[in-house]
Amino acid sequence: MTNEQPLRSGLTGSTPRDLRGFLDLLQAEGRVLNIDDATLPEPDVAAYCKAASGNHGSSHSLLFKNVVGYKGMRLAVNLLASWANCAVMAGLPSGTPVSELVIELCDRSTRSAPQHELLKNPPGYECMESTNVDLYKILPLFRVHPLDGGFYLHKTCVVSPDFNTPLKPGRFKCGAYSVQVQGRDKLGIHLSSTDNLGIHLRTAERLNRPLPVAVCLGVPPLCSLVASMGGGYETSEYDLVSTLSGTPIELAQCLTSELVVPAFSEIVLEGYIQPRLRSPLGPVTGDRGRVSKISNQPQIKVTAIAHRKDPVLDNAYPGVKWTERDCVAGIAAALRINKYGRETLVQVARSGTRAENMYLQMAFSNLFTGDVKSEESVEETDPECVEQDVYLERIEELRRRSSQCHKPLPVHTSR
Amino acid sequence: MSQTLAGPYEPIAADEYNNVKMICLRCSGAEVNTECAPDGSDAWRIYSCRRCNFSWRSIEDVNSILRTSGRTPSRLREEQIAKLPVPVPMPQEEA
Repeated sequence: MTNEQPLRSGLTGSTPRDLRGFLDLLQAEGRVLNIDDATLPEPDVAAYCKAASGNHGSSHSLLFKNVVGYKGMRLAVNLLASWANCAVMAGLPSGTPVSELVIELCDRSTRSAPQHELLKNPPGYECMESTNVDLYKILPLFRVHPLDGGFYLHKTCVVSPDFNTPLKPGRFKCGAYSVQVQGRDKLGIHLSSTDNLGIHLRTAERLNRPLPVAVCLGVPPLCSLVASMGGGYETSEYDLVSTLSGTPIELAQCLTSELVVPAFSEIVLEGYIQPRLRSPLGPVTGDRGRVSKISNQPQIKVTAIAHRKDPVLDNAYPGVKWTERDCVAGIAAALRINKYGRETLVQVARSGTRAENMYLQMAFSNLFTGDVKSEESVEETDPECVEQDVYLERIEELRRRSSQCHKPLPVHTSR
Repeated sequence: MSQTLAGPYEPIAADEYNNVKMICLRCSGAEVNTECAPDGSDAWRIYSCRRCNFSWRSIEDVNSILRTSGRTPSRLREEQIAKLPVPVPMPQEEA
């Protein structure tokens, strides 16, 4: 399943609607290595992952179909660990250069976000278990790195509410955190006090209320990207996913809380963080093989598990020089810089002099929108300006240069 | 019998485990949960310490997991657990 939207190039890009659609696209491109042989969770799975990891976004994606002890379960690793796969995620051909991929996504992020869509029968809730919750039965776990203190899931989308604001889809925050399965219904979560979830937790603990959370696994790939992006507290992750995909994100109402989650998640773990409770977690391997020390971290009590039929668990493999996180973080950083840069420059353009505005327009023309004062003022004031010819020539030159890879620069001056 | 990277594996007899009282290999905690493989094959078991949350599988070399700095295996004493850093401080600790 894919969502179609026009690209800068004029073609139509199909962004995968869910993880399965993404896997199908990758399979069609021959970008997934299927492992059908019997594979021991330790040490085989991690050994395969390490062998498949390459530098600078050249890793291979793996799909394990026969992990010993987890008959019938599928485990995907490294799905976004290459630029080619990231391009497929964005609905572009797999051979798209990284620069084009980033420009395309930055361009999309400036568009308006379609409204969310709440599905009545979400696929992620095809199967439900709330009485005998057992994480060990539903999750094909493996020790991601030899030094980890347990079995971690590194590719999550954790949804939590801010008790300080009214609950509505735009006010839920999604973040990617490492979680450890610590019991049949317990998850440890690796947090810092500056994380969005850490902020939510402190608010909840001041009120002495349990904090409802939903840990979504196997979410649509754009959700994974946005969850790990850290685009500022005021940014709605769901809006951004809709903007990047060009279609409304499909959401589902949680059964045990007021949270809403991506409807096409493979697995949703609903639960809550118990206030004023910390338990040991770690060591956990982070980027580039750095191992964090053991610390006392919050614990999630899982009260319900929802999943699709035959769910696919999507996990990441950190601990090598170049990982999935590097690709995702690279794109996310570009989107962040684009967002902040645009906001800052528009502010400068609105309050700056005409000459400053002209220079800004020449340097960052793609970032301006039609409502910027500089563009209006240039058009309306002093058309006989002596310096105008110089600016026009410069703009024409820039326009010629950028016509190959950017959309043409608008010329806002008149002679 | 299937061949894996680690070589052929032998399913583990249940009796071999049922008669052994597990303790945590990291903190020596006596409360260790045991989980079987979900497909019922008994190919391995997962052990999880309720005190320090260290988990390991029966087919792993636990000493190599605990040998974080490449020297001796690191252990965790009970009194150390209470003194572990708390990255997200609780309200009473802030005051």
